[in-house]
Amino acid sequence: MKLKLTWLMTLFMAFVMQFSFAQEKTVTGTVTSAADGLPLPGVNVIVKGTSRGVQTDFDGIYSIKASVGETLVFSFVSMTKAEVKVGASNTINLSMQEDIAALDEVVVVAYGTEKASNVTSAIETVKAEDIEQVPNASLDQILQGQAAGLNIQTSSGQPGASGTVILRGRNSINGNVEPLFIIDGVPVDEDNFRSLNSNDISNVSVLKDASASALYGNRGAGGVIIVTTKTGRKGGGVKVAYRSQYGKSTYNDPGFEVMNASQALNFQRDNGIGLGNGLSDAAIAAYAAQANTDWREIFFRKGTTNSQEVNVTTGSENTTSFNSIGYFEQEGITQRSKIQRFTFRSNVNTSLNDRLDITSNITINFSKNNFAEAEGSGSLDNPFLAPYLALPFVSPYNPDGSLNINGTAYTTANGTNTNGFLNTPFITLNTNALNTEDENEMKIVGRIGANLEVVKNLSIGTSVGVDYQHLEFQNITRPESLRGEITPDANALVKGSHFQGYQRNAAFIVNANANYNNVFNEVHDFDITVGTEYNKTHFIQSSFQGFGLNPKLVGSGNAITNGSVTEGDDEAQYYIPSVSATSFNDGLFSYYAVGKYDYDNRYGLQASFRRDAAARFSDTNKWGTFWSVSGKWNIHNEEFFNQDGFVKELKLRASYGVAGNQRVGGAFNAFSLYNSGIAYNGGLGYSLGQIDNPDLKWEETAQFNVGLDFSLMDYKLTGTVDVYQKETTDLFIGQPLSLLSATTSIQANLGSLENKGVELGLDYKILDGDFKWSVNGNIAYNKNKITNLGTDYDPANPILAGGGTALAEGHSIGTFYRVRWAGVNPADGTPLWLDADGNITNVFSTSNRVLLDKTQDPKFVGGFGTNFSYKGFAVNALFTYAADQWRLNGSYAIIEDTGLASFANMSTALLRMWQQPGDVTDIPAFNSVTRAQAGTRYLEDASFLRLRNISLSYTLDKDLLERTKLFTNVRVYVQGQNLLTFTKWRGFDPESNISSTFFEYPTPKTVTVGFDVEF
Amino acid sequence: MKKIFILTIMSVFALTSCNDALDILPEDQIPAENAFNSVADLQNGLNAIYNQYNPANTIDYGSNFTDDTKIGADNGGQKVGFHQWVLQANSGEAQTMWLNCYATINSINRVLAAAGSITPDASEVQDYNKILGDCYALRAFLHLEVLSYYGVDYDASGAGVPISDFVIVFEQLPRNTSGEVFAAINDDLDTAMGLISASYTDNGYVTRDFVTAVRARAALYAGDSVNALAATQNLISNYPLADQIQYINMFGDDSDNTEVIFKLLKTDGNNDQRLGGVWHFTGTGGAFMEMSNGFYNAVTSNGSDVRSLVNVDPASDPANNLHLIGKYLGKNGFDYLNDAKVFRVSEMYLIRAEILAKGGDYNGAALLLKDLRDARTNSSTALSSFTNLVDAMNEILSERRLELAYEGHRYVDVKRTRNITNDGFVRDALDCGGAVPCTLGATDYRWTFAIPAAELNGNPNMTQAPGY
Repeated sequence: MKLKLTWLMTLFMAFVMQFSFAQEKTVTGTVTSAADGLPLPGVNVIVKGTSRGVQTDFDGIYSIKASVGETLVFSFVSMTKAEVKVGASNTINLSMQEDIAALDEVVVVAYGTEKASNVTSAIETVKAEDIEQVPNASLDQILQGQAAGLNIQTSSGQPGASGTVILRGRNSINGNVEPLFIIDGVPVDEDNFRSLNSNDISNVSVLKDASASALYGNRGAGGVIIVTTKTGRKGGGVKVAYRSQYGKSTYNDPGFEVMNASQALNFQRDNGIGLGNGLSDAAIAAYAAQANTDWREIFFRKGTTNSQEVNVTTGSENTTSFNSIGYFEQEGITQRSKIQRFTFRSNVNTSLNDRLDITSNITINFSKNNFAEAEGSGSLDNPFLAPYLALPFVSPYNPDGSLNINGTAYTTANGTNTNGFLNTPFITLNTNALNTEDENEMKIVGRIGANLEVVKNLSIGTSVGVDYQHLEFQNITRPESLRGEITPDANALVKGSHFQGYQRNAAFIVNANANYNNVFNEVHDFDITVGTEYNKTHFIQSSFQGFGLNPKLVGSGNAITNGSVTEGDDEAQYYIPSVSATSFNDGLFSYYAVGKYDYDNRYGLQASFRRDAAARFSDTNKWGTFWSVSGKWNIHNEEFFNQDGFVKELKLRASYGVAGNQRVGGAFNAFSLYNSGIAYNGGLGYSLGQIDNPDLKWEETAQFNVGLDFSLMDYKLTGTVDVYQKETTDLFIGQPLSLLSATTSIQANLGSLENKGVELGLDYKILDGDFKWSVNGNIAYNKNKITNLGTDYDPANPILAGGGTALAEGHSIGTFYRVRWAGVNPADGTPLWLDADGNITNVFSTSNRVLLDKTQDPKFVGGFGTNFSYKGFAVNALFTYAADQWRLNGSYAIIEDTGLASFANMSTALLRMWQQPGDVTDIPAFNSVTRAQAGTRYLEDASFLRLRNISLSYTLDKDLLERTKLFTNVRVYVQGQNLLTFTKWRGFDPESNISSTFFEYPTPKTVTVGFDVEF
Repeated sequence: MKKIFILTIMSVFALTSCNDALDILPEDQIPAENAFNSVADLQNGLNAIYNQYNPANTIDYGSNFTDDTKIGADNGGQKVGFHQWVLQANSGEAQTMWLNCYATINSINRVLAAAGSITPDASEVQDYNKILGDCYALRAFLHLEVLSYYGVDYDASGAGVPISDFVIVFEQLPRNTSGEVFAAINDDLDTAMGLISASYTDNGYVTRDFVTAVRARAALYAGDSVNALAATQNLISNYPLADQIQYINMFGDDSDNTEVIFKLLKTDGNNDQRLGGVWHFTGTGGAFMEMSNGFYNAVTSNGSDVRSLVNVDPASDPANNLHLIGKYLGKNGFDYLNDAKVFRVSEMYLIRAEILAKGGDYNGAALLLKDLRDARTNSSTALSSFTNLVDAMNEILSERRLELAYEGHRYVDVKRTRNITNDGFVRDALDCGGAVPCTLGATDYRWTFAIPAAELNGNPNMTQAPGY
C-alpha cells in the first residue's frame, strides 16, 4: 500500500514538475525498512551533486533543504541505494529495500569462516534447505547434483549406504579418491554417514581448489567437504520444531524383459535343454498355466520410511543452542533390508564474557542396520539376482498359498540338491526369510572448543574432537535353513552358524591455534592464523563364528555347539569356532599457518602452509610440506566499474597450491611383515605378508584454478565459472615385479596423472513477488588423463585394472579395454569381433583388446532444478545427471548366456536368436559364445538423467498462524525421490560406482508425505 | 580465569607432542627382522612352506586341461574356458601354478637366508639340518613342477624356467636351460640328502625317500636313465605295491600307506584344503567338472580293476552321462578332503618301465606293467609284447593314465611323450563338440604353458613360450 502511494506521488510529481520553478524548501520524511516496516536510524540523505546531507534520527526521521527538481539520495549499509526527485510535496517517506548485492554471506572455509566477498578460493556452499527432509539416510548421497564438480554415485540402495564421492575427477589410482569430510571441525569417516541426521546440517561447504584444501595437507588432495551443523541465533528466543515424514519406496523399471513361462519352456524345447526339452505344446501350455511367475514382484517389496524429529533452538544474549532428537526408519525394497536410527545432537555456543567463547557440538547416534544377503554378487542368495534369472514356470507359492522357501521337486531334484543352481529363487527366499545379517552402530562425533581474545586483535583457540564408531555385527545362519543344511558341513549333525563381531574406531583430533587480525587505515585487512594439530586413530576389532546351533537358542551365543565336540567313528571336528582380533593405530602431527590480506574489499591475497608428519611413512619421508597461494579481485568495487550496468558484480579468483593424499596403501608399507597363523598339519607358520617399500610417500596434487563469480541483471542471474588443472605426481602404482618375488607388484610412487575441467553454476530468479520462480543448475566437465605409469610401463600392454578397464598412459582411469564386438555372422550365427586392427574376425582373442574412448567415470556431471512458489505453495525440483559414462552390464549378460539356459531364465532378446543361414540378428546362435567372450557386447552407456527430488509443499499463512497463538510455522509436503530416470542402461539402476555391474542393490524410488510445525 | 585458560592452551600445545602420533608399529604382524631368530622360528617358516605349495593346481591342470574330464551337469561357468583349452598369458591358470611354486620357493629362500644367521645348539642341530634339508628338497621338487608345465623343451639345451636360489625381490631372471634346471634340482637333492637323517620316516614330510622319488621323476623327464634306474630300483625295493584293499584305503580315508612315498597332509575342513574341490562345489555338493566318457570307458574296461572302484564315484549315473570323479571323496567326516599323494611306488614302476622301453628293453617294461596290473586286478594279467617304442610308449601312457589318474600327471605325460607317439589329446565324441574342442594336436603350442602376463610385465628378461 505504502509502495503504491509512493509510486502515485512520484507520478504526480513528474507531471507537476513541468510547471514548477526551482525553489528551495525543507523536505522531511521517515525512512523505514521494507522488510519489517521499522524506522531506520542513521540513513544518509544527501542532495545529489551537492554536499548537503543529513542522517535520520532514531525514529528514522530526517529533514533537509532541497529544491524542487533536485534529487535526494538515500543510502544505508546493506540497503539498496534509493533516489527520489523532490517535487511539490514537502514530505518524502521512503521504505528501503534490502540490498541483495551487499548481503555478504559468511562462507565456511578451512579452519574458519570468511565473508563471501573476501574468499579467494573455489568454494561452493550447499544450504540446509537443499539437504533437509530428503528421505535418504546418507548425507553424501543427498549431495548428488547439488554442487558443480561433485560426482556422487552409489552401488547400493541399502538404506544408509554410502556412495563414492569424487570431486573434480579421480586423483588416485590405488589410493583414496574421496574428499576429506569434516563435520564441525572433526574429520570423519567419508564412507559412513548412515547414523547421522542430515536435518541437523546448516550448510555444506565444498572446498574444491588447492587454496581451499591445501591447508589440510596430506589429506586434502581430493578436496575437502566441510559440514557445519545448526546453531541458534543470539537473541532468537526459544523455538521448538516438530517434523514428521512417512513414505514408501519401490524399484525402478529395469528397461529389459525376461521370458515368461511359455517363452522359456519353448526356448528350452527348441534347444533341447532343461525342463522344456521334449515337451509337447499341450504340456508347455499346462506348465505355463500353473505358474507364470514375475520374480520381480516376489523379490522387490514396498519399503516404508518413517521419520520423526523434534528440535529446540535457543538464543539468549550469551548462549545459543541447537538440540535435536530424531528417529528415522527406512525399509529397503527387498526383504531384510532396513535401517532404524536414533539421533541426538546438542550444539551450544556460550560467550562467557566479551572475550571468551566456548563451543560444543556433540552428536550421539545409534543405528540398527539389517542387510539382504550377498547384494552385488553372483551368490545364489542374492535377491537381486533372482529377478533376472529365476525360472518363470516355477511357482513361488506352496499349494496352501504360503511362500515356498524350500523349492519344488523339480528345482531340488526331488530334494537331493537343495543348494544347486536350479533352486536359486528358493535358496534366496529361504536365506532372506530365515537368516540374518545385522549391524548395530554407535556413532559419536563431538568437539569442544574455546576461543579467547588475549588482547585486541589477537586470539588463541583450542579444541578437542572425536569421531567415534562402534559396530556390532551379527550374522546368523539358522539350522533349519537351506544354507544351514551345509553349515558348518553337510555331514555335521548340528547345523547353522553364528557370527558375532565388534569393531571400534576412535579418531581424535586436538587443535591449538592463534589468530591475529586487524584493519589498518580502514582498507588494509590482515588476518593471520597459526596452529598445530594432532590426529590419531585407534582401530580394534574382534569377532568369532561358532557352529552347530541349538534351534531353541538361535540368536544367542549359547546356541553354539562346543568346539571340542566330535562326531562319528572318525571323530570329525565340525564345530571348531573361528576367532579373529586385529588392531592398528595411525597418526598425524601437523602445524600450519594461513595469512590473508584484503585491500579495500577489492584485492585479496591468501597464502597457506602446512607441514604434516604421517605415522604411516618411514622416517625418510615422514614430513611433507603443502602450500597454496591465491588471490581475488572484486572488480565491481572498482571506481571505474559501472554499478548500474548489466553486470552488478564481478569477481575474479585465481589459486595455485599443492596438497597430498596419504591414504595410499596400508598403514605399514614401510615394513616387511610376516603373518603368523595355522599352517601345515595344524602347526604354527610364519608366512611373508608384505614386502616393504621404505621410500613410499604421499601422492601429491598441484592444482591451478581460475574462477569468475558474477551477478547480472539486477542480481537476478548469479553464477560461477571455474577452470582448473590438477596434476598428481608420486602416484601410487604397482611397480610390477617378477612373480619370483612371490608377488605381482610392489606399491611405489611412480605415476602421474592430470585432471582438467570446467565448472559452471547458475542461479536465475525469473520472477519475484507473490509468484516466485527461479531456476538453477550446474554442470561440470572433467577430463582425466594418466600421464605416466612408471618406467616399466609398456604401451603395448596396458595394465589391467579390473572390471574390463585398463590403465594406459594418455588415457583416463577406468578406460575400458575390450575386444570389440562386431555382431553375428548371418551365414552361420557365430559371433564376430574386430581384431586389434579393426578387421572382422571370428576368433576371440584377448590380444585383440583395444583401449576404447569409453570410461567408467562420467565426462559431464551435475544437476539442475527449479523452484516455484505462490503464496504458501512451493514446488521444488532437482534433476541430476551424469553423461558419457559407461559400464559393463555383467548382470544382463547372464540372461543372454545360453550356456545357463537349462537352469536360468533368459532375456526376451533371445527370441530373436539366430536360427538359420541368412538371419540378420544381434543374438548369436545357441551356445555359440560364452559371456567371457562378450568383449564390448555388454559395454553400455550408463548416462542418466534423474528426477532426483521433487517436492510440493504448502506453508500456512502467517496471519492465520498468529491467530492460533501456538504455531509459528506449519508446512505440509509431499515429496518424491528418483521418480523418473531416463537412461539407455538395461538394468534396475544406471547409477553405480563400479565399472562392471553384477546384481547390485538398485537405488529405489521413494514417495513421502510429511509436515513440519514450529512453536 | 584468563591465566588458567592460557595455561590450558599452552599445555595442549605441549601435550600434542608428535611422538605419540608418529611412532606407531604394526600390532598384528611380525616385522621381518623379528620373524626368524631361532630354530623354532625356522620350523614355523617351514610349516608355512609346506602349507603354501598347493598340489591342487597340478591336479586341476592334469585333469581339466586334458581328456580325462568333461563339463559337469552342475557347471555354472567354472573352468569352462580352461577345459576348452583357452590358455593365454593373462589366463588365471597361466599365473596360478607359476606364482604358487615360485612364491613357495621364495619362502624357502627366505628361511634358508635366515638360517644362515642362526647357530643351533648341539641339541638342535639335527632339527636345524632337517629344516634345511626339507627346504632344499622342496625347492628341487617345486622347480621340477614349474619346469614340467612351463618348460618349452626338457632337452638339456631347451628353454626351461628360471632357477630361483636366493631371495628375489627386484631381480629379473631369464629362463635357464632345462639342463641347468635339472642340474640345480640334482644339486639341491644332493644337499638335502646330506642334511636329512635317515631316522625321519614320516611320509607326510620330506624324507630321504622323497628326495629319491624327486630324483627319479626328474631323471625321467630329463632322459637321465642312470639316475632314473638307480632311484626307481631303490624305491621299488623298499615299497611294495598296495593290494586291492590297501589301494582302496589309500585313497578312501588315507589310512593305508603301503605304497605312499610322500603325501601332503590335508587335515582340516577348510575349503582350500579339499582337493575334490577341483571338480566339485565343496560346500553345496554337485560337480562342475566330471570324469570324461573316454576315461570312464578306459578305467572300467576291466571289471576287476580296483582303479575303477577308486576313480568312479558310486553316485555316478553313467546311463545319464553323469560320471563323478571319486578319487578324493573325503575323510574325517569332510567331503572332498584327502591327502595329496605326491609320490607312490607305482609311479616308480612306470618310470622304470618307460626308461627300460626307451632303452630297448621292451620285455623289462612289459614285466613291470604286468606287476602293476596284477596288483590292481588281483589276478595274473597277460604279459604284453612290444615290438617298437611307440607301442610300448602308448601302453605305458595308458597305464599311467589309469594308475595316476587325477593326481596331476596326464598333461605332462602326453606333453613329454607326444614326440614319440605323435598324439596329443583326442576327446571322446560324447565329451566334446560345440565350443569344446575334441583334439589338441601333438604339435600345438599349448603343450607349453604360457608365461603369465604379470611375469612378463615385471620381468623384461623373461621370454614367452612360442605361440602365445
